[in-house]
Amino acid sequence: MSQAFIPSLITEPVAASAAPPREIVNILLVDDQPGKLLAHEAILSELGQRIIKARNGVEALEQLLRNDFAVILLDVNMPNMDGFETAALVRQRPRFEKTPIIFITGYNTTDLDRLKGYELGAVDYLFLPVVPQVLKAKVNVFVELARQTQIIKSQADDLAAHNRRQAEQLEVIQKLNAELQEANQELEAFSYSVSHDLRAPLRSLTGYVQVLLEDYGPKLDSDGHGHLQALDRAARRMDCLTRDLLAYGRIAREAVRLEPLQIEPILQEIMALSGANSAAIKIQPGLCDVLAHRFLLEQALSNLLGNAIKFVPPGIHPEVTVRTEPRQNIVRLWIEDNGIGIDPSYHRKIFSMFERVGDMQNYEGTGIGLAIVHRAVQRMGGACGVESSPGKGSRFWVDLARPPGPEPLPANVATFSSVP
Amino acid sequence: MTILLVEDSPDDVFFFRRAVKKAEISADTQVASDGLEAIRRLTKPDPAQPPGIIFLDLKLPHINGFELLQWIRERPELQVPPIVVLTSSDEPEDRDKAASLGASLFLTKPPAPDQLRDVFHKILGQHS
Repeated sequence: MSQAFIPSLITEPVAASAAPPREIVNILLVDDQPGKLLAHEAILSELGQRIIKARNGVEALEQLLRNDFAVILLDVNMPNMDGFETAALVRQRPRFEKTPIIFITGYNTTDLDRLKGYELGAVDYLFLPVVPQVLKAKVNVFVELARQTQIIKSQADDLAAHNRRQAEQLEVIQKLNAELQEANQELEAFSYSVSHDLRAPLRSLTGYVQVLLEDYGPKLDSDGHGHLQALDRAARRMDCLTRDLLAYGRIAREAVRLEPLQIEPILQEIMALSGANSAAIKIQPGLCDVLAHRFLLEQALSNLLGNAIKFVPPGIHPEVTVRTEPRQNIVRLWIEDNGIGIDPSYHRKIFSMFERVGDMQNYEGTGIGLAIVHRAVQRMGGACGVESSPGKGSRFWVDLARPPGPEPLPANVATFSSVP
Repeated sequence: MTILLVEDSPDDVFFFRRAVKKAEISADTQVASDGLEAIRRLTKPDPAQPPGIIFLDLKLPHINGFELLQWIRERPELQVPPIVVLTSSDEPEDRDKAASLGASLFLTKPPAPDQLRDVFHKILGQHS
């Protein structure tokens, strides 16, 4: 579903970063003498811009309403409305406040007149008769200025559009994130209700099976007993499945905070809770501390211990050893059993969800236990694996970080530090 | 001896009574099927049969077990008897939270008769 959004999220390059476009700008020539207009037009046409002519101030103002201009060449001596009056009207409009005006005037202009022109915003004066190169050069300055301004403006527009697009994309991402979070919360709420609402009737089911067996057992024949036991097994298996699925889900969402932990008390608690035969489990004295998250470590250890005890050949008493091996920055925790062992070709596969391989299929289980171990260890930044072959038992290992602080290596394991 | 069982599930009430009977505990079990009824019974206990121990489910309608624990904690004058939390939850957080709110013990459902015997031994040993 979310893939549909991906193409629109790909950022388009900013258009303005391409070669700057050769913008054509407008030049306004205002003169009451058609001959002068033509002459100036001829000179300026070499600049390759659009030249618009006006024969008096009114026409000039009309043109200004229709177009933007890079520069206005304004004849000072015009009948009715002279150049200065026209300039004053032009300046009144905010849009043309900054449009450069070059006045064209005769040599008889006094300094006072020129001052008046500058006050009206003239940027320059040209004297008649106009020298073509001078006219062209002066006008060109403003043409270039207008062109650069246009380029910058178009870049700014592009940038603004780009920013807008980015803001829109951000909004889409935020919306998706919110939706995802909502979906996660729903899933959590669902998990919680599965935990309580589904397990409660299962408990009733197994409870009443027990009642039937105890109170009515003598009245049932062996088939009746068998059926009840089958019912009990099915309900218990479903209970295990829901419990394991919930644990797996919780491992995924648990906020991981690593702290130095002692392993042995956790092992003792697991053994006490599971009612496991503690005689079958040998714990090496002085286990190293590890940097771990309590719930995740409990989950990993209880599944590894449970498996170690469970997967033994019929008639064999399980023997499990738990020991640690300090390495440079990590502690390797070993859980070794005398069980049925696992073919090396399955060693990776068994850590996946619902993978029950080889002889494992003859034993009760949900196929989630080692997936829980793998995910829990992964979330603590560690690694896990197994060394095993059929009939030779299994040696599961879990690597976890060592807590910081001075904990000198025992002399007999110092050689491990040279292992790369 | 009177037990106050705060439990909304009739099945769980049945299993509880059965376990009490099997444990040969001579006690009368009164049931409050939600938190509000529990509050009523605790504020006006039957003078002839005041509860000597409370077994409390955590997931209850209206007022859940944690809220009830909190309510009791805020009313020391009621002299509420020891509380054993009885729940299907095996989350350690629930256990810790219940303990911090004043629960004396924590049992996972369904309670086995010998577990109940242990609980009575511990609680009544402490309070006799």
